[in-house]
Amino acid sequence: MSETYIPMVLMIAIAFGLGSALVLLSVVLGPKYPSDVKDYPFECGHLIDSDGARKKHSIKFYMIAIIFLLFDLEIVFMYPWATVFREIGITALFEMFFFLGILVVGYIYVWKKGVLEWE
Amino acid sequence: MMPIEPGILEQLGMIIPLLLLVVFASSILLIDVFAESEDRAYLGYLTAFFLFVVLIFVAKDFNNNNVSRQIFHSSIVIDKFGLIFTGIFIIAGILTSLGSIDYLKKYDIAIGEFYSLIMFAITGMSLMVFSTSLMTIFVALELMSLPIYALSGLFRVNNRSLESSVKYFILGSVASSILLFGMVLLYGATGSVNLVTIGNEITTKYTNLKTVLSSDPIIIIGMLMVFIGFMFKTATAPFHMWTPDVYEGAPTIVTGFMSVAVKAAAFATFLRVFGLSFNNDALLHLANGAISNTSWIQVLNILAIATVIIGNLVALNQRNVKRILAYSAIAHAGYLMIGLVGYFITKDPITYSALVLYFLSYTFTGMGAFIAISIFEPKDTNKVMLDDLNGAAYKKPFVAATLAIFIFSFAGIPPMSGFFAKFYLFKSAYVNAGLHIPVIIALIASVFSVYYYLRILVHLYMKKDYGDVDVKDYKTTAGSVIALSIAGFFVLYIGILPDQYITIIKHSFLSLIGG
Amino acid sequence: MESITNSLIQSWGITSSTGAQLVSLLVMLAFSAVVLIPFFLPFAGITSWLERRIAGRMQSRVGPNINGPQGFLQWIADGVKAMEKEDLMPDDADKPLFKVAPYFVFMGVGATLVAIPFSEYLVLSDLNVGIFYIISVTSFVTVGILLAGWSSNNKWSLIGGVRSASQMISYEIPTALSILTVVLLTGSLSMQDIVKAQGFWPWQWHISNNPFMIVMFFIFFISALAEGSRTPFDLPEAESELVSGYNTEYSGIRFAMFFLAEWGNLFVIGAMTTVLFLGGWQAPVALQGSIWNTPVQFIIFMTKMSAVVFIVIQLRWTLPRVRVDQLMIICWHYFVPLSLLSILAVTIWMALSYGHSALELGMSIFSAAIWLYFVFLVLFRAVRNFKKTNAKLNLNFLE
Repeated sequence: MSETYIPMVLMIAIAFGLGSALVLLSVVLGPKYPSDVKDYPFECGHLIDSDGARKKHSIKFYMIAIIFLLFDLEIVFMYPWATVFREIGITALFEMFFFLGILVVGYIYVWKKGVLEWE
Repeated sequence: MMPIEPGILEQLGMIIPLLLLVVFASSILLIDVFAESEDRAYLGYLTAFFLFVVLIFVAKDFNNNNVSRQIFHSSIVIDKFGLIFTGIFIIAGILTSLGSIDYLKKYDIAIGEFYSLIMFAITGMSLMVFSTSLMTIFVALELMSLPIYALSGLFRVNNRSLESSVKYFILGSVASSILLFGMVLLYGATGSVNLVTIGNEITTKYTNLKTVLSSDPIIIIGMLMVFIGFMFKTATAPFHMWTPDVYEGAPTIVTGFMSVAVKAAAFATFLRVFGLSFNNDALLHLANGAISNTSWIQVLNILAIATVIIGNLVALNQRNVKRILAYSAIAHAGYLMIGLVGYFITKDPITYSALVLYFLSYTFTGMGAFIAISIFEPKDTNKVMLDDLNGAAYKKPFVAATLAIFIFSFAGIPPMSGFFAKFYLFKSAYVNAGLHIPVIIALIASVFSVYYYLRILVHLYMKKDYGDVDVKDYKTTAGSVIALSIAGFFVLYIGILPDQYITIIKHSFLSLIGG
Repeated sequence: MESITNSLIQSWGITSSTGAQLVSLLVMLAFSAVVLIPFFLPFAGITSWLERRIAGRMQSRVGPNINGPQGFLQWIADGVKAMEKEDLMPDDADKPLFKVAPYFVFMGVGATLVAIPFSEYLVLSDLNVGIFYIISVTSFVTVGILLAGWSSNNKWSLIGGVRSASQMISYEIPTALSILTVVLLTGSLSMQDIVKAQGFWPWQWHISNNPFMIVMFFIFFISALAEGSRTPFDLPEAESELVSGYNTEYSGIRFAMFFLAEWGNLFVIGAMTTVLFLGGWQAPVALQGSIWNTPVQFIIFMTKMSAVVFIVIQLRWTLPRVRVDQLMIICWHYFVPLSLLSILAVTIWMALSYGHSALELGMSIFSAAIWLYFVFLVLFRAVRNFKKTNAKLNLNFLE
């Protein structure tokens, strides 16, 4: 069991190591000439009066995030069902009809409420 | 064609009320978003009609149901016990949806989700009392709680409503997680999530509490955590602290639904879980010297007494009507707890039917009282002080009269149902279960309670200065009138002729024990 | 993997269990290093060169052609140049997050390679939740991009990052739903099982199981493009609107890491499409079952994958970029309902055809005919248009 997961860890470690190696090389090879102007955020010339970017955002993004959570969880529930669908048969089909039916009701509701509209 | 699981259609046929509830709730949601007009009053009537249809199905099932069988891989059982409570929830739902029409119109809240959420909450409650598996109980509990969290925040721009919603949500989530953790421990200790299996496991393993404690304290801890989870939902001391704030801040009509249906659901599940899983004598009675002579019964007794005292004493000093009713709801939770303890001791049909009859009576009384209060609620302040009720009876004689009926019923004055229910409950607890001290304390406390109940009536009928409440706020339409009439009628009817209800309830007793 | 390890252990005559474990660990390490460093990095690099060459072709210009033969070594030059640049970091940036963001993106792409089966035996780890694992680790990329956008403390970066996050999570739903149909047909989440459920011939692939799988294939392909932020869905780095999107503040090698990951992602898109819908490494029956057939299977896999990658590159230089609202509407108004419908259709078809293998085969051939017809139609029209314009046929990209 654990053997199948060792490569996973290895691969992530190697990817991380490769990234670090590249960055390290860059630190060694690259120049270092810090200056005030370089340290400003690049916002098309608005240098001094840039007031930072951490501000309120369009509510749309939050709505999308919440709906995503909902749908993603539903889909996660559907995966185990999909793997055993052949073994359980018609019963599983009806169960999923009901499950999807509720999901679709929510989907239509969200749609009609205008959450999915942009602009 | 693929094979079909044998018996699945039959099982689906048994849960038709639940399926109907989900379908109706979804259709209300869809009707709401597809409707053209701004007026949503018809949705209230439609919801009441839908719920009535479900109620007919429940009644039919109740008549036909003679054997209770565990279905869907032993996760739920459709028995008369569950059906009678489903009936109670649906009645509360009908009254809520009829009573809410005026209330929502008063605050210009034209949303159909209200009715849909009510129906989803009822679905969760029904599923919860039917379930015999810890997993199903938890899912159903969340299905019940989430709509209620949302409903208590119905007035999005009102700070108190928001506070109520957030407070309830956070505390409720903590209670849910404690409950879930307790369930995990129980599953770990017994290897099953099925209540009956857990009960058998405990019974075969342990003969007295000492062996449980020495060999497997996990069961006790898990049981305690499940216990706390339910105590929270039933608002019994010491887990009652959220109740006044939440009940006060939530929209009045939702408060009614919460104090009646949610509490009934939590108590019923409490009864189911502890009746099926922890009915082992070792856990309930013996405890010879195990934890300094304290048995579960005694713990429950002390908590019940504390709940009764806290609820009644604090209510004495309140001037906010919703807070008064909130604390009285805590007090009633205490009375119910005494009944529950009585049932755990005797396990006979009499204490059982006293308990369930109390729920039935409390449903009509509580819903009716909150609907009437919601009509008297002044629009601008969004809270009902006692002074706001001054002389209201002369503007709305019918509503005031029904409110008087409900208040009398709360206070336990004959011939209202509250009197008989309380009498029956206390009598069975005193005589059958031998709970002398709790019952006497509860009796004294309910004498105190008459003071704050009747104070409402004093302001309604005996103060002539009308205050500065706008008459327009007191608008009533058919929905509230029907709801108040139904509730008032049944409060009187159960109070005068309780026999047939007791007979019906006693029928459901056997199925509970059968499991 | 296991059989390779076992044969090694046998040939080296190792008996102790610690030794065997050591060998298997070594093999894994070697293979991961082989996959990642000399295979994945050049692949990403060469793809970047190829993309620019194809772009030059399609836009009647030259593209990189100086470094090495036909500019083939351009990607190495680019990498060295990126390393020699100063690693800038804005003063107001959230420094730890700013530094760590590229690693997330890089690791997200690297980690997907673990579960991709290159041949019957050449797979790093045949996880029993393989496809699920890939779906989840690709979310690393989203996290990385969001971190990069947030930590830069630059309005363009932040808008780019948030756009990217909303785009990726939105398109994850159609992607996951279309993968779900494949799981339905296979009954397993393991990548090898998914490939083994298919066959060499086109009508044995999952795409031709029934006509709705063709729909699902297109939904998967387009959503994968969107998830990998490829044109026409490259909103997060829309140069014309957002300077450079989430990586505006990045420079030097960290900037290059984002792009390396993007081209690596191209490879993942191609591999996933191949494995899920196009039969993976499946070779004719005669060329299966033996470890010595690995090169054949590997070549088959790479051919299919390269074809997909080529189409993706071609799309980039053919289509204009969509707007944000169009992007979201495509996903939520069309793809989600369409994929839900397709799932229902696929399940109903599975239930109806259960136990009728002749019926299943007939439907497979029918739907294979449908999509092959479209492929040939496209090729035919390309050739016809080519002839019409009297252009000279010159397939030599390297000139």
